[in-house]
Amino acid sequence: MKYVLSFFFMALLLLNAKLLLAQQPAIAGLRFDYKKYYLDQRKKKYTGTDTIEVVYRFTNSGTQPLLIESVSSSCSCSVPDYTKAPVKPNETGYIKLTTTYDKLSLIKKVHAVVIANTKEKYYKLELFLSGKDNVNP
Amino acid sequence: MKYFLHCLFITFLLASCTSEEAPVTEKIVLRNIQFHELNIDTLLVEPPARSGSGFFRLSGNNLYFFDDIFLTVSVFDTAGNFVQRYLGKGHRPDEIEDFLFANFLADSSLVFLGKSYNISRYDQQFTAQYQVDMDWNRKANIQYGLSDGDKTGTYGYNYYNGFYDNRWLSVIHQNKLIIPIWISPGVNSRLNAFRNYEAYYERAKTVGVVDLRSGKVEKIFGRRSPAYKKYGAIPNYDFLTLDSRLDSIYVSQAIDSMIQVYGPDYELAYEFGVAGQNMNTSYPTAATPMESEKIWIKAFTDYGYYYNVYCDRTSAMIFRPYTKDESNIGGLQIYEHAALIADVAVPKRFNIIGKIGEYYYADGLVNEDQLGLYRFKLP
Repeated sequence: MKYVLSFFFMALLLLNAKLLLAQQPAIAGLRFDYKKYYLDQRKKKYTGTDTIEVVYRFTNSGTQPLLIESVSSSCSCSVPDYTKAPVKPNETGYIKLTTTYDKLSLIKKVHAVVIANTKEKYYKLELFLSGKDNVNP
Repeated sequence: MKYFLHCLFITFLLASCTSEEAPVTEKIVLRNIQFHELNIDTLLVEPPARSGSGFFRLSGNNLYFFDDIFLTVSVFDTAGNFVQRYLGKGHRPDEIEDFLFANFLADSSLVFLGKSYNISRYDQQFTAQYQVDMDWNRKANIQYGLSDGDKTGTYGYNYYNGFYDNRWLSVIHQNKLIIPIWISPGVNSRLNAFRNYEAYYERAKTVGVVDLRSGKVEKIFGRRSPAYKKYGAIPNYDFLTLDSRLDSIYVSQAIDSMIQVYGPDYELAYEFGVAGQNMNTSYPTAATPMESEKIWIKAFTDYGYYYNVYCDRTSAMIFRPYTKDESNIGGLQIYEHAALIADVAVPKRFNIIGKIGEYYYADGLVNEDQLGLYRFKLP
């Protein structure tokens, strides 16, 4: 009898866990490798109208396909590009900001707002004209 | 003799007409200190996403965070629990194209100002009602000059873009937005805070009245404090904040200890105030926009100035926060009617936004690491 009750209790626990899992909404997740990028001029010296391209890679950390709905830059001096197709769970995509050194050196930093089909929905990516102590992740 | 008297009379008349002297108004300097410190709580909140930039507002029994990068409005209860999120960037009626300033009106509907100072109105459910551009009646083919201090077209919104946020919007007569104004050197190269700054201090108006429906700037009024002349060219401190209660408009200028009170006819009725404690007032001067740009961070972080004024609609209280110097401690003055009843230490950026129950709430802790408000009860 004791064995039957124990078995029944375990089955109930498993059923509850399954029900809880089923209640979790299946959603996409968006995890960036980094969201801030500091232009490191120790590796490459930028001058004048040199083009600066920064790629922010991300992974779909959720259970549904991830869709980047839009990316908008804080200023017309930078142009965003991004993975347009849905990104499957555990797969990666990118968001790229392109600007020129002379424009970035005027305003020191730009940011882009990313809208995606996740719970958070909004993300901010930043590009800074580096200080010497700034090191990228 | 008759000829002499006649000349004297005409001279007197001419002198009266050309005088730039400010009219004499009642100035009240009154201390009635009732307490010396506040017990301040911190209420941290966590929206689903935050950019680290924006401001808090209060309406009814809820607290609202306006994220000016994500263009969202997150609602919290007084325990700090997230309730709901509104808006977001977009063109649908439940979205917004951009905003820089926002506030609730008395009926809990909303007014927003965009980055180009366009007005957007939303109802209590955060649904767009209409959008209209601010109309300054600016003539493109006119070169504004020294004598144009009375023309609305030479003015623009005076947003100092400082460190402690002064993006409060206030409305009078139910549908008239009152805004701080200034003259940009780009619009008027002769009369501005850099060139001919003494004439600017004397002639330039400080407040604009904007019709919320049409966007038209209907009236400009107000005088800069005579204290500005004492400091010379200090364009970084050419800003003011304002609020309204009943039919009165309260104007606090950055460097002036006096708060001006204008009546419903937009005439200066009286001034009151007491200087803040331990304020570094050796303000740095700047003769050109470039010089001003070079020193602006230091000007805002290292010196003492008044950066907001708030009138409690439920009492006779008026709150005015100020900076002292480069330290992290700021001051908060609390007035009851015109009498200073407290001048207490508070964190820098301490903008009262309203009252729920016994607690006053202040914006706040807004940065990438933390998002929250301060709250306190009056002793």
